[in-house]
Amino acid sequence: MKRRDAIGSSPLHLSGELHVTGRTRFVADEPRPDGMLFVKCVGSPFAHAKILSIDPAPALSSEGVRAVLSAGDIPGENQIGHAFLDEPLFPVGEAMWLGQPLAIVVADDPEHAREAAALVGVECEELPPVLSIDEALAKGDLYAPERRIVRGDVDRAWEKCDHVVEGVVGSGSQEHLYLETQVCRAVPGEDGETTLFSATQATAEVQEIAARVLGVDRKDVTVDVRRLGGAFGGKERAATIWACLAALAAFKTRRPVELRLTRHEDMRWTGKRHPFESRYKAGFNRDGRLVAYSVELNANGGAYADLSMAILERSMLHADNAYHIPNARIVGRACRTNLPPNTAFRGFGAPQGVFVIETVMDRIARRLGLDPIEVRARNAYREGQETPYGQKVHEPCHPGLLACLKKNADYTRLCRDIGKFNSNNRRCKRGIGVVPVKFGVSFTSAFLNQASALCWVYGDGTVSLSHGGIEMGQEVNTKVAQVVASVLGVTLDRIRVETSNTKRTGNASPTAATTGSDLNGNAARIAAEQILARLRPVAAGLLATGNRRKPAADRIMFQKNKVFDPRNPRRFVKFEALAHEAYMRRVALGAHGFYRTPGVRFDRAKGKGTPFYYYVFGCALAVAEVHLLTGNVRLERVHIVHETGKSLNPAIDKGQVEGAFMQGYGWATFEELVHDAKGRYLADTTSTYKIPTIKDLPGVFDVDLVVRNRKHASVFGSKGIGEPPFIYGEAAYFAIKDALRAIAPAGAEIDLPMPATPEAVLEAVEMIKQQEVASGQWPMENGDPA
Amino acid sequence: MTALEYVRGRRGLTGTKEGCGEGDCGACTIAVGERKIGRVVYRAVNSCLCPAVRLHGKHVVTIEGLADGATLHPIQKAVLENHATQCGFCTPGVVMSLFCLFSERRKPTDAEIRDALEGNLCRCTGYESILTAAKAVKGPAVPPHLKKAAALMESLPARPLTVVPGVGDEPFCGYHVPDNPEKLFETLELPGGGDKCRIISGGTDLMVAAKVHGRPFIHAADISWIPGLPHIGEMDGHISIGALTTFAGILESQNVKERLPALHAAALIGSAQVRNVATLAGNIANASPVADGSVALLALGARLVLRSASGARKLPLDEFFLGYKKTALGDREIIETVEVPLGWTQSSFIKTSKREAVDIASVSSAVAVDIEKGRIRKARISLGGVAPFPVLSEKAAEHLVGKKPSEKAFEEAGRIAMSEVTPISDVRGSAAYRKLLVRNQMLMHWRRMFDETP
Ligand SMILES: Cc1cc2nc3c(=O)[nH]c(=O)nc-3n(C[C@@H](O)[C@@H](O)[C@H](O)COP(=O)(O)OP(=O)(O)OC[C@H]3O[C@@H](n4cnc5c(N)ncnc54)[C@H](O)[C@@H]3O)c2cc1C
Ligand code: FES
Ligand code: FES
Repeated sequence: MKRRDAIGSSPLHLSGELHVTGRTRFVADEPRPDGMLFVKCVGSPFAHAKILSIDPAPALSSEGVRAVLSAGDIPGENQIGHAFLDEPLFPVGEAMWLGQPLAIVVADDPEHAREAAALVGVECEELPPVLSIDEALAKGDLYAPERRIVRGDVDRAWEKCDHVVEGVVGSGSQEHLYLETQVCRAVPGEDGETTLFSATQATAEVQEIAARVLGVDRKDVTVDVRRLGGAFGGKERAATIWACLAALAAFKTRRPVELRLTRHEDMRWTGKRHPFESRYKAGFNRDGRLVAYSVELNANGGAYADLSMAILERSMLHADNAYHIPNARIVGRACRTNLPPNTAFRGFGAPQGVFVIETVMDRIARRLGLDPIEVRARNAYREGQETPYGQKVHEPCHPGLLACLKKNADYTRLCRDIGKFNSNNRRCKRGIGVVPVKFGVSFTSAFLNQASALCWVYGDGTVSLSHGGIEMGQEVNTKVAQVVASVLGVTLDRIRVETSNTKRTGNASPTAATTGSDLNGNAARIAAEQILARLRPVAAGLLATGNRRKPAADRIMFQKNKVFDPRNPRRFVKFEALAHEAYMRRVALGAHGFYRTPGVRFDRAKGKGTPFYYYVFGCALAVAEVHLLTGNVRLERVHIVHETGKSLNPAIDKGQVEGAFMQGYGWATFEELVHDAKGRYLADTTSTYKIPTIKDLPGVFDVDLVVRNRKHASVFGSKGIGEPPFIYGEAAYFAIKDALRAIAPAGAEIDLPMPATPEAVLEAVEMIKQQEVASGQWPMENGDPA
Repeated sequence: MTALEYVRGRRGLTGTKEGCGEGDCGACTIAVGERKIGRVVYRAVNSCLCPAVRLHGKHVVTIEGLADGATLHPIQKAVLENHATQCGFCTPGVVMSLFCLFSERRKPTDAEIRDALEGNLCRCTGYESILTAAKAVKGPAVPPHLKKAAALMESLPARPLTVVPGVGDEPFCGYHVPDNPEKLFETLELPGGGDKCRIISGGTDLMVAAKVHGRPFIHAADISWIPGLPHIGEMDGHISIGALTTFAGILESQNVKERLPALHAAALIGSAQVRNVATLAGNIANASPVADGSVALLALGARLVLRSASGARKLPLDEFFLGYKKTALGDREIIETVEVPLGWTQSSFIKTSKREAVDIASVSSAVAVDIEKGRIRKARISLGGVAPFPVLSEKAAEHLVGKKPSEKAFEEAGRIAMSEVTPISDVRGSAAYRKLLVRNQMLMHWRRMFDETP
């Protein structure tokens, strides 16, 4: 099989062969250690409850049960909060969400644990739950005082605008549905040590909090992660609670334990994407240019703070999306409700913020009868313009990317064809949606922008590489290995990327915020460069043997496992020979690389700063076909133009764009999470909550990666990729809305909730028809548009 | 014990994954090979819903078995080289579904690939790379090492050697494999801990109920080894469909496709993995208000042949459903055959669900009409998802009788049907949405049966 290694080429997935042969080991695939016990949770029966008593006795006498543990059994602190210390491992007094663990049962097999869990006597008094943003806002129950980002003076700007529009838009929640459910194996060691094989995106955080719960030092807890079966943010913070429960069970029983959620439990008990309710007002001129934009972003945070404030912050920092706004006021609130704590999900608030201003762009275009792409291009950032929070935007390229998008989609013809289709079809209508994206890369909590890597070159020239990034399908391992391969001039098969382990890469930031390859790639690059620097003089010596003069050490080339003087490339030393020689000469062949992103900072109180190291730019166009009798939607075509800097691996980046788009498409359309008045999610199984299948693939799915040399980019000129393309999925929503315009009177506002489920679409169709009937305009006797 | 627990737990073959445990994700897909007239047919099966006993005498291929030593299977190679795997959790299931597809079709079409993979969820790739990979597969689907292994089946008895009195493992404490009707009816006498002993056929409803919703059944009687239970055949003006006929079997029937289009359309339930094991009889007996098969059969005027120890009786499907999940089936009675009258001029089945593939209907409906001299002589209209069980809309059907099949007539029928129903609101749709769908589906039936204009 062909292997390509260089930066910018697309070598195969490092674990690909394991994946396709089934030899990959996820946490639950590792052989079970002898005597392993299994954990089941006993959840709160109500979304909000006063806990009266918990009686473990009946469960304790059930077959196979080793322990029943609750708050009183915690040796350390009953606190698993991170940025906010507001979340107990087991609630005491008051349970805050339906299913919140009140106790755990540890038994010798999963079945016994399940049976016993049902026997634990839980006495609770139901309290009225708060579930919606409106209720929480009315109660004033916010996680922190509202945040603001202000530029110019919107209040004085309105009167100067030719047009002003206002409205309220919501966006829906979303279940992560990573295919591997939450899982942790905890193994007690000697001397009070515990090792956690946790499916987490955040090793250091799990280590810190498990140590806190167990009442031990961080040095006593090791967290080890090989890979995750998908995460998408859902295992950044949300994996911690399960890891801590497993840790507690192992610590108390002195036996290895496994806690693995079933899909049903996972869907009921884990937090999801934050639903938002936002109010906006936008003023613009005749030419479609935004003059003023005021928006209140309200997020439903669920029962504990979790990452809600950071997510809210990112939504505020992306409220401008790709557009320069002279006067802006962005207000953000995250409120507490009795749902499982909502948490990180690809995009981390940005998609919710972007959705509001894209709704505005859509309205501007309709109001003025302008082309929606043109309106967006006119408002797009130009070089050096400032965002509302004061960061200069460098190397923006939206007018160019949008032009490219039009070309790829053959836009003029497409519009014409759609017009023709719509006049020839009574039952189906097509529409176009366009969404540009500007996405800021870096953690907005500046301190998290650090990473380390540990690199060893062994005496045989092979390489062991540990870094803090978590492999979860985004192939951070492949990319980081490519970086090291290119620095050391070795092929990828010489490199083993090790598990992410707190012993080898301590204090690792979560693998999140699209920074995985940037941070860890840079740390690994620095580690490898140190080793390279030490190898150079040895290589110079080796290449100098005989009567040749010694080559300058810093000119020696390292390529494809060969080391040579570029002036005489035919004479070379094998990398393994060099490594062996270096070892014999007692050269240090291990190095630790540390990287911190320069220049990022953000002042939360002032709402100003340069939170992002750089921006990612791109745009998407979707054509949707709406069936007017059922509300079902089919994606006809999708075109995406995405600028990657100098992509480390175009095949990976393309896969990320495609996968993210489909996830965003699901969010914007049929992934719907409704809960009842008691706080129970109604779609809590895979048979009721639907994510896209292969049949939802658009007929044409064209992804154009634009590779550019950029000053404002990261490792080897590349840019992060994970989250931004999620937002492209919103194009599908706007395409549906556009299709509905085909049956509405010109210029009419279309009322379409998000997600645009078939039910929502059909309701919108009916609404349009009724308005028409009321105004006597309905053209056809059978109630269908001509 | 499920087949999934068996391969993972007992055999240590952890390549097969559990993603949902209820038949919806396909991560647990395995290939089950059976001898069929001189060759081996591999069918994709969701191992999470498959009782392990079912594997007896079959050639089971899991992801670990595809590669021949270090030589990757052509499908594995294509998936790897086209970057069609990211986190890898779905990959074994995807590869196994493709294996079953390619073992039957050398060069499958795009549509066949999508059909074969609709039951495999992938949250990472967005499927585009998977589709590309599937199109790039080059080489024989069943390599020599698998052929050799399959030949071992010849020396195995086709049925488990003994009745399995109680395999002990969840979700059943007694899993019985009766090999003749007498034994079956004896088994059905067994007490079932408050519940009667349950018949298990494809298990796609029963296993989900047992696993996701606890362990309500103690004994189960597997009817799939009873000889003489008929499959599909035609006689005396009807098509008769035996208890063991799966939806995949119905889809393969050219007779059904041509003469009972409503049933053919309804047979596209679930995913390939589900259709391969789920039976029509189970669909009816399960009595779900949105069972696709039941809805189609109701419009088609099907009759059931029910058999118990004391003999057989016939019952029109109209009289079978009594209430929510309540039927006229006796405690120790089985659905032996379903008889579907032929002679409908046209029929059609339509279901609307949130997602196109592998989703339960919000509302489904079927229409069957008999046309004489250009006018509708007889019509039946059935509705699913609007009442506690599939129902007929007699008034709407009456409206059609005597009329030419026109858009107007069907639209009015839709209005009537809509006014007749009082659906409830639930996770699959509000009452108002369901009523709209009832109305609109009638127009769609007209289009499907009589109208060719776009
Ligand atoms: C992922 C998935 C998707 C699905 N999608 C759809 C869909 O789109 N549309 C749809 O209608 N259904 C769908 N289903 C449900 C469908 O698979 C079942 O209704 C199926 O037809 C039941 O047949 P079975 O052979 O699997 O029955 P089993 O699960 O074996 O049995 C179901 C019930 O029928 C009884 N029973 C079975 N056979 C007989 C018999 N011969 N005589 C008397 N009683 C009997 C059993 O005791 C049990 O109560 C889906 C299921 C899954 C898991
Ligand atoms: S585990 Fe999802 S279908 Fe079996
Ligand atoms: S590759 Fe992760 S679910 Fe498919």
